[in-house]
Amino acid sequence: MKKLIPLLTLLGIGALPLGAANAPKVTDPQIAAIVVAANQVDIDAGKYAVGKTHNAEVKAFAQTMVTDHTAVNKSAVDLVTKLKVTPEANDTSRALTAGGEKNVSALHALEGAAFDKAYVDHEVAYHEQVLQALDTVLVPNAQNSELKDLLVKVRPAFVAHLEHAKHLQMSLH
Amino acid sequence: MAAAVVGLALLTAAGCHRAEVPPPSASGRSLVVVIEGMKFTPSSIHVHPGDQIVFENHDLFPHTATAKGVFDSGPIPSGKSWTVIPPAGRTIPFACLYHPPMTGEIVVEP
Repeated sequence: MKKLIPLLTLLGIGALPLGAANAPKVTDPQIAAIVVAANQVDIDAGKYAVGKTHNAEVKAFAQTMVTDHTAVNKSAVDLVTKLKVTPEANDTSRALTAGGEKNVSALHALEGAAFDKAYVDHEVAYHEQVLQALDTVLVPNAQNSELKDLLVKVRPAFVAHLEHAKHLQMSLH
Repeated sequence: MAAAVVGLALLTAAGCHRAEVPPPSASGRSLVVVIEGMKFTPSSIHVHPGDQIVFENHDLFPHTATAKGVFDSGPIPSGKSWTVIPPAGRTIPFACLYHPPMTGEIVVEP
């Protein structure tokens, strides 16, 4: 399984010290596109896993990913519609989408326990990256207070997803 | 036994196809558990027999309040609530079926 390109690298942080002062500038329309892309990646991977896995716990986890990330995306889209903000596709959102497609393609080649392990391993790494990006780039850069509030409101879900994925990962190794 | 337990746990739900339940007795209080930020608040609830617990979902996605063999809310949609009068004289651990890290307990006095 290919390693994830670190999300912070995609956001242009690289080796710079992290923190709001050094965080690259990302506009609200770009943040909206990144959020939608990030959620869609997990929705797509989750839908694929629901259909493919034979492990009940993996299936339940994958379904939760689909349900939760779909709800977050709906909230994000409803908010930007209300704010008359048009999500602006950018290198990061496009890279997220491409990375998600590559992940699902790679999962196509796997079956059974190998599939389950690869899917969950990716979910752990992915949620770790998304949380770090939320904390160091997306929340600090959000200008609109409602957008910032939404990002802060959904953060606990990503933390819970990561905790759930790690627990599942331990049971599969 | 299971039927008796379920019978003791009287259920109602807003927005779900659950059976109607009678309102709490005159001595029964109504306590709210808020589901928000992927946790139940409060997570430990002490009640008296006849008290009802209202689980309010303030998160963006559905949760459940499930105590195996005792009660199961089914999906509580965002913005909706679900009410239960737990059986007396026991401690009832519960969790969200969709998000296993979310847990709590109800202590019902005898």
